[in-house]
Amino acid sequence: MEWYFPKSLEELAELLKEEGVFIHAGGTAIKEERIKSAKRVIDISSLPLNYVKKDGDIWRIGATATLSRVMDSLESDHLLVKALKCTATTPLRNRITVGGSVFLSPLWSNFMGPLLALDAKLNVVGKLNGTYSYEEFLSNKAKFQGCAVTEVNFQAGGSTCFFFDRFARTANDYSALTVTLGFSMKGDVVDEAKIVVTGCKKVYERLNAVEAGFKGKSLKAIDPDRLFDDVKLEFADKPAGSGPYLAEVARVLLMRGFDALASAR
Amino acid sequence: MKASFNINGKVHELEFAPHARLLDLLRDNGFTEVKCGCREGFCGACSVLLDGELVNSCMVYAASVGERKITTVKGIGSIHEPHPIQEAFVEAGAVQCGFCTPGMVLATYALLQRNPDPTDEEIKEALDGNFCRCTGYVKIIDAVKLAARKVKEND
Ligand SMILES: Cc1cc2nc3c(=O)[nH]c(=O)nc-3n(C[C@H](O)[C@H](O)[C@H](O)COP(=O)(O)OP(=O)(O)OC[C@H]3O[C@@H](n4cnc5c(N)ncnc54)[C@H](O)[C@@H]3O)c2cc1C
Ligand code: FES
Ligand code: FES
Repeated sequence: MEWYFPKSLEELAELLKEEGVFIHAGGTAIKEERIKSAKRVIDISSLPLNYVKKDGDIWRIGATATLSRVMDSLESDHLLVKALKCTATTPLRNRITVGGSVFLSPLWSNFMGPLLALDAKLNVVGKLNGTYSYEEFLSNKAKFQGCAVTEVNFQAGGSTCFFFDRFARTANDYSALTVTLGFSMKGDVVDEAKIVVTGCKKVYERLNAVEAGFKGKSLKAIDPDRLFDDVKLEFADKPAGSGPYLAEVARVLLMRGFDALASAR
Repeated sequence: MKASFNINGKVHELEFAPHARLLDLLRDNGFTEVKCGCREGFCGACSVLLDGELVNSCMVYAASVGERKITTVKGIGSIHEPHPIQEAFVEAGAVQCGFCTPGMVLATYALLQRNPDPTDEEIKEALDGNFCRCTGYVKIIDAVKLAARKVKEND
């Protein structure tokens, strides 16, 4: 088994064609057995992908940018910063990369809800080459095996207001669930709503029916107590609580999120 | 595998397995000031600085370190020439069993490099990856505040 340190995307694309290769980014989710069983480990830290930059009205985040770097570079009240602040711990955030987190997209991900709400796109190289929506990536992860994520990008700013919260046993624990709400406003009324719950049995759920009900309405005209009544969220039992308990917590966080956004208007 | 590692300002040629963690590489080569707690990225006992940034050495593969500079707690001060942060931990009574102390000192060092005058909230955030089972943290936060004053006086 050998470690490789490609310096260009061309070199990376060539290495990805080989059998038994495995990508290493921050390494925080890689078990020793996985390294032992790989023929080649490709460490991507020497690639020119450690950037966070605003390109016109698009934020572009290179795959090897760490969570700490993203938190330092985006606006302090950005949705992603709120989500990353409660992800793992300072030393882990200095090591965990955006590319690794997106490729892994685990059940406890704090990225998933925000990136879905932001309509994020991924640039990939390898077996597939090009730009794909993060939603497409999540819906067919197998298709992206043998690829490397090189960049995550999404629209900057705009008229959208966001809420993010998560539930975990302790501040440092893996998230049991996350809740993200985003409202694009036209004047006083909602033009588009995005509501995402993650950590559930389906990994994530977009609350499409509730989202549709918001369109064209003023937030003040909506009764928050009834808003999520018809939402059926299913969670598996986890160390943080039973499935029914987590579903109830998700509902409470959704209501809190709505209240926070409505009162901020 | 064999590679050069820059540890506390000295280059060491070391042999290690391709799947070895930085924590084991350091401890197996005498840097036992780096403590092994949980091996899962939770406790912070294994903290070191990589190019000045605090990381959990149990979550870092040795092969991935490359030319980055590794600093253990002995790299910032010794028993005969302690760093002001180390003095502050002793003076504030922030050390009981001492198992968490190397990590706490390095977390404080990384914080003060970025932010010489941290608030209580900023101190808690910067030390969020370092657990202490003895002190209850109050004295540790006092120590960080004292360290900030000492480092400023020294500059
Ligand atoms: C104690 C602890 C608590 C945590 N809590 C949370 C939490 O609450 N919420 C949360 O969101 N995260 C959390 N994390 C982080 C998360 O579990 C993963 O460890 C992290 O996202 C992996 O990122 P990495 O850069 O270290 O990737 P790596 O460990 O290097 O890689 C992860 C996987 O992605 C692949 N990969 C890496 N980079 C790329 C790329 N650019 N292209 C294609 N494939 C790639 C690797 O081959 C591997 O399969 C926690 C981690 C720890 C250790
Ligand atoms: S031993 Fe590394 S974090 Fe606990
Ligand atoms: S002094 Fe004992 S763990 Fe902190």
